[in-house]
Amino acid sequence: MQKRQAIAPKTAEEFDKHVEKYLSMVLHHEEVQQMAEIAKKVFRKRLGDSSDTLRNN
Amino acid sequence: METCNSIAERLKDLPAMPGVVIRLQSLTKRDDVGSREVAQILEKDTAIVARVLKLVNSPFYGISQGVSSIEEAVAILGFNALHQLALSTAVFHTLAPGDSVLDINDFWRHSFGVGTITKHLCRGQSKDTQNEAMMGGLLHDVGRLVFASADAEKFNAFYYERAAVTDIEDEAEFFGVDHQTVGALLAEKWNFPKSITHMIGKHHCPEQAPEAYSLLVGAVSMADLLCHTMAVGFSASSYATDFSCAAWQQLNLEISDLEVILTDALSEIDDAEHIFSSP
Ligand SMILES: [Fe+2]
Ligand SMILES: [Fe+2]
Repeated sequence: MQKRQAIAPKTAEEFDKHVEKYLSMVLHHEEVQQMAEIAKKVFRKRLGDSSDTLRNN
Repeated sequence: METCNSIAERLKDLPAMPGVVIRLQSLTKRDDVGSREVAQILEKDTAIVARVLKLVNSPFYGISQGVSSIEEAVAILGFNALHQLALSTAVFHTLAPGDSVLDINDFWRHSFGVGTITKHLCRGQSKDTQNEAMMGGLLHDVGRLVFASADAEKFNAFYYERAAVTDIEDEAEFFGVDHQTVGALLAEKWNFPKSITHMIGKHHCPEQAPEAYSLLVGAVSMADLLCHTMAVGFSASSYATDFSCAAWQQLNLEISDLEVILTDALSEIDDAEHIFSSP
């Protein structure tokens, strides 16, 4: 039986795409927009990426 | 389409709550539970003992000396924490799905992730509330395990194609009941504490929780959203749960607090990684 795989973003860009897709239905809430930014920041920190400049594409 | 009754009927065929856990539940009514007494009950089920000791020795609990017996674990963690560990462990052990599209390790990781984040969202609350938060988070999606173990083929047919787009209305239409409702039925059947039953039964509609449980239910709903956002584990479907403003406000946190909460929770989840490899 083929298993469904967990979504496992490896890079900041992949993670951003995942967050935007996952939260697309609830992003109209201001709190969720802020939450999404914090999630991206936490992910970057965990990647050991101290520079925020890498991400803005 | 299946009727609600036929799923409820099937609950009767599900394995009964393991005997050791029933006996443990009966101890929760007393204040004077001794560690020897707990150990004597648990030691009858070696599979549960092995799993509980593995969890207790994980960095999550921050105990530096190795814990080699249940008696020692009760002395260090207290009866309530150990009871919750034993209960969650027994549920996953009893309902582990066989040949299914659901990867049980990913499911464990999602469950543990939601438990840990729920606990951290409740950091301003009492220790007991935090313990309930952890346990309710661990068990919130147990209804999906009920589906998978009741009829793996049907489960696979539903989730394999529709994982990204499935919401609880789709589930209710397909299975006759959604995973939060069937999870709550199981929780009632197995005599879980009321708070846990509501956390399981209302995590996708926290506004419907009775007022006494609304904080915990709101916390688990928020933690589910955050856990999916952080892409921790997988629970068969990645449909976004709605954001509840009321639930968020009740937690009395600032959005900026989430940075510390998520950082702390994710490092605890990382520390517990070895637990997921053999549930
Ligand atoms: Fe759920
Ligand atoms: Fe979930």
